[in-house]
Amino acid sequence: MTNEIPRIIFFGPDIKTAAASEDFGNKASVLSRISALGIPVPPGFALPVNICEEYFRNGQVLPGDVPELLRQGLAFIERSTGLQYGAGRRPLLVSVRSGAPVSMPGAMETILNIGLNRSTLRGLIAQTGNPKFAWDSYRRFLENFGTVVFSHDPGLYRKIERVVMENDRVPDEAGLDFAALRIIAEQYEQLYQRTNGKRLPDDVFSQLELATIAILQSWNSPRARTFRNLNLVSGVRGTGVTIQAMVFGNLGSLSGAGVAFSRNPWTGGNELLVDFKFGAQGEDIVSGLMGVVSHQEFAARIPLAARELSDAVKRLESLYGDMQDIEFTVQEGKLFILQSRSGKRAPLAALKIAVDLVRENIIGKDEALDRVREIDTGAITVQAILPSEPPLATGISASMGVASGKVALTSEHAIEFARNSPVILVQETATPDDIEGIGASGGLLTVRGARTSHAAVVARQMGKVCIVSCEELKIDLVRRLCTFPGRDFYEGDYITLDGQSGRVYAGIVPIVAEKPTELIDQLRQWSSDKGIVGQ
Amino acid sequence: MAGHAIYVRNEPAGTTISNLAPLPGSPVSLIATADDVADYLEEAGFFITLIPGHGDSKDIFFELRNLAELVLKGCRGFLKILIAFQEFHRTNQREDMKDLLTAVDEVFSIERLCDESLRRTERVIFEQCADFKEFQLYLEIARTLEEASNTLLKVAFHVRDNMIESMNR
Repeated sequence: MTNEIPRIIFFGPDIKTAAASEDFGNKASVLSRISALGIPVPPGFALPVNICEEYFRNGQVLPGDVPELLRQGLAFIERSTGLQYGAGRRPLLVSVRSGAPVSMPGAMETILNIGLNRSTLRGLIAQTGNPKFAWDSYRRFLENFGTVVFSHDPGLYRKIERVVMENDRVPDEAGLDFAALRIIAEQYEQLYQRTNGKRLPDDVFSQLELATIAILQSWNSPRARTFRNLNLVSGVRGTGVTIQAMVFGNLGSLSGAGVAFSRNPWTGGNELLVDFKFGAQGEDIVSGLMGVVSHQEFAARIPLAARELSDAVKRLESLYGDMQDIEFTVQEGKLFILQSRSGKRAPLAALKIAVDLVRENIIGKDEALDRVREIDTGAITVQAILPSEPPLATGISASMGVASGKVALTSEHAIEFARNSPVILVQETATPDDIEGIGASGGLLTVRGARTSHAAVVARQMGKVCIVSCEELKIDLVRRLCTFPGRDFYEGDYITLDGQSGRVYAGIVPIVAEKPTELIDQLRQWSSDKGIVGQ
Repeated sequence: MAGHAIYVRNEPAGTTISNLAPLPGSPVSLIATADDVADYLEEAGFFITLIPGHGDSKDIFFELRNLAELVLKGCRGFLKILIAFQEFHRTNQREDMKDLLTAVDEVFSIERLCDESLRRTERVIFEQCADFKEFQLYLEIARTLEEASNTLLKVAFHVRDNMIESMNR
């Protein structure tokens, strides 16, 4: 059986490749399919899930043919881009991404900007004339590689960055100039020497090999295992590895990274929803660490890319017959799709999207019924609150519903409090590492981050209320309290989140609930037409 | 100060720069012209700090931003020229010469785009700006940015000529 699956597939402009999702993972399958249709994706190649299985079967040793496969793949990307991996002139940088046959947002790893060392860094400056971009890419690479490949503590990197930002009085890292970014990168280099003695390989091919191993390893990370347990994922053999030419959202003023949903994942409304960050790279938004600009601001600054995105989103939704969650990058005004998958959605949205897709002739009634089979449609309610006091603060809604509970400032405390009472997890940012804390809580509230971040996506999928980017909120972990304008709440005090409006209230606020009867009746009608009882 | 010619006079105490007379074609002239670019940008930056916080000048800001982005591209083009020249000086390779000439061409194209952008900006300012002080301010910003782009082209040609000259030696 193993021999029938190719050991490598290539994708990019003018390449017609079909890669089965169960063999190469969702990401490679989608990218190869959509690039064959002319949707712009950075050229790349993918290694199959078999290699992950073999890696773990062989006692975590890379199969012997992988180095040669990587060389073949790089040669393909070099031909496609006209760039050269490891060259001092016009250097090629690549990303290495995980991709399992089931969607596991944020549960595994991605490493960006691979191929950078001091020599290629100079080449990048010569190629672009943009030292800020080059140093920014280099410091991102050092952090990404150090934390994923060598398990460095991300806090060490954050600390260096924070000190430089404070010295330069820059509130947002996008405001750092090349000199500051260079200082950060040089301190990161020193961090490698100080931390567990492992040096960053200067040889770019070693970088790629180590990154590939780290991606395979991430299949069995505690975070990935927890995700599979909580989401009842079974029967999946491992992750594929997708390697692509880098496209840069941090290259200039018409560059950035974004996430788009083809429909509203909270309400199911048929509206394009976009979060975009200028000057950002792919992982910035989904990591939950950064705020974003609205679709309107994005479209006003880069109208052509916004129109291309809108067209691509429609094509992707129609191609896959479902609401899509799309990651994209705009490099100097040019759009690249990096990922498209069926979007995680709240139960109400699942109901509405299934019904709407039938009405729009995109899917059949049987398919719609199948998609909501796991959902207790009778239990879906649209909740509204009846507050007696004004809200404490307002953030951006990332998942609908209303939740009241005790404030918990860490995942560990959320799990502990949840044994006796409902909990609201309140954090500066949330990452997929908080998955257990989110699972134990009724709601998630964060100071920063985007509604399309992986943590928000996971919260939504788990049916949790989620509000992000609540900038008036301050957290003091030492005193174990959070402060809204004029009011302190210690861990254990009650607050209420209104996911509809993004508002936060003190105490437990009463709610009223309405059922989406029109949608439920429609589904019941289709079920009874088919003779199914109990839908 | 932008637009002033300068020269270097070697004195026992060291090198001093004064604005007495130019020495065309010398490295000092190159440095002086490049310094003019920085001066124009600094001046534009200063004018930008004078923009009042009120008023609705969206279209004007849009055009000024486009112009500023073009100038930024020109600066990046100039950095490419400098690195390519440095490489060419070291290696004498055809590839480096090609990179340099490509970058000079880029700065040349950007300068033309800046000319067009300046006219568009001036038109919007004339059409939309009712307040005299703001009118004057926006025009100064636009014209100073465009001067920076003109001067970038001068300095780009300077480096190109220097490279060609060095090949004849």
